[in-house]
Amino acid sequence: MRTGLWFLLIGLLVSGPALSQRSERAVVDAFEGRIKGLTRAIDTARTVQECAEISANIDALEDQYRPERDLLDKALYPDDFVQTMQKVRDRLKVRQADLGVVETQFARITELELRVVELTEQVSGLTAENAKLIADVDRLTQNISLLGTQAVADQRMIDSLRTVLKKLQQNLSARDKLIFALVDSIFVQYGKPGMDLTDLEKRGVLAKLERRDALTSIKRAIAENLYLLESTALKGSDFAEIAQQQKAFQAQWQGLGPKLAEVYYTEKRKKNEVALVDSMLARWAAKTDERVWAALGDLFREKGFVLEPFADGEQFTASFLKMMDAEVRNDRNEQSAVRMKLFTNFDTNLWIPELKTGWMPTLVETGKLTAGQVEQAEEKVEEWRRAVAGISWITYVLIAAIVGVLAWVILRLFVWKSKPAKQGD
Amino acid sequence: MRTAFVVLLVFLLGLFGCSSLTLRPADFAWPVEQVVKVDSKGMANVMRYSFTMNVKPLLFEETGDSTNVARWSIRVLRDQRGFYFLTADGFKHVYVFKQADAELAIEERILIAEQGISGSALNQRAPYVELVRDGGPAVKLSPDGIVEGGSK
Repeated sequence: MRTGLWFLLIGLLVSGPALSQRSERAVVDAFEGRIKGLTRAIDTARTVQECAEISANIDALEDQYRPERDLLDKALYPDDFVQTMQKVRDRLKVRQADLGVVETQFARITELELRVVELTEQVSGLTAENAKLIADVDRLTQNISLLGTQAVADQRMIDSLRTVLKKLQQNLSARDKLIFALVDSIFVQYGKPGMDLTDLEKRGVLAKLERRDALTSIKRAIAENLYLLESTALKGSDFAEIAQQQKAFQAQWQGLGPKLAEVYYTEKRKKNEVALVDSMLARWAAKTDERVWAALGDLFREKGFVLEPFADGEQFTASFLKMMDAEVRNDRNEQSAVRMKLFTNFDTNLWIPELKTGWMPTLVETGKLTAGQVEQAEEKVEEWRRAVAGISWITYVLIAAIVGVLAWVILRLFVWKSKPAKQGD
Repeated sequence: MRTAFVVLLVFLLGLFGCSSLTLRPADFAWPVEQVVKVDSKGMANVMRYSFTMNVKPLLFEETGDSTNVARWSIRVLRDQRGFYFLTADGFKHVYVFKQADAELAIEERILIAEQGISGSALNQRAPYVELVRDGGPAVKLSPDGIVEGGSK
């Protein structure tokens, strides 16, 4: 049912304007063409996975054309719609029997194949939505840049752009997950890693991947993520999420890439496809790094602290420690009150809300900083805290309290000792 | 008396024999149009309905050329009443024919577009026939002409 709705939606998107004026002959011809295609696929199927894919396609075709049943019942001859579908299914059963397909294995693989179909539709849906969002981003960015040259860009327009970017980022993240789930579902049908597949199975997987546009989707995902990174309207906090997204994508690719390479190497023409994804992914990682470190530098500047330029974790740590050392040594010879004010500003506006709770954990999680580097930074901040704090009023209060208590005890002892003497007198 | 009875009987039998027998209603509508290639002799064979016709005169009427006929594909649809609607991409008209003795006789020429119709297709919309085309609204047709949506 859901499949049917997706097909209907895609159909409406593709042929929306022409829907009111359509040739019924064309509908019938398209249906008959699909039936012929399925029949050919059945006759040439050689594996249980191919049979499962055909079975899923039969279901999808039936869902897609169910709204046209009245027309097809009249137009198809000698069978009607239901009989036509039944005949294709019967033909597939005969083929399965010829191939010796075990029913339970077929059922399990068909279930996976249905999941592949569903995921493909979801990926297509999100791809179409993303294309629209990207068009919106382009339009808004252009409007803002035009306004920027004339007057101050309208804040509402900037907010709209940020909303669209946020939605695009969420969609990209969701689609990334779906794409890898789709590729994984195809491999799982074969129940063994890429390198253990026979040549026939590899060709089967490759055909399925191609039909589902899997590698194209992966390449498109990287390209659109790169597009997102180019936007000037992104803020520092966005980059933390983007870095996590890139890391997750890379991790998924590391798992599936070798399997895909194994399959794609079977065909000369497509041998370089996986290498191309690798290079695109490297470009994405480099661009993410560049934007993440730039955003972190901007954050320091925004809060009134200037670090020496940095482009990786090591440089950032060195730069950060250098700034801390200068503050600890009080290179500018500032008075205690000024130093205290600066540290409080750093601590409450940058260190605690932004770095310690936001950036640092993300940078460690995405491998851009090591836990050791973060520890070093924390130690330096504590050192700066101690240097500016001196002896705090709490310490004075504590000392006063201890002195008071001691004085009271001594006084009590003195009174207690002098009492018997008085009695003796 | 007997002679009169025999005469009456013969008269009545003759009367019944002369009266027409009508089967009503009859629905001749095809569910979808048939698109048929014209062969080099100008014959169009509608295989689904085992029905062949010579469309050379139609092509001559529409294009003024009856020699170069093999490039045409004719769209044919029969309506509920049994009239045949014929047109093709590039035609200006939809032609309506009725069946006669081993022939199709013209009933109506319906002008659709002076510059010719493109992307044409006929749909069954009983009791009418619908013509869809590129760059114009759908037109509802009856054997008498345009019923709805036409712009001549």
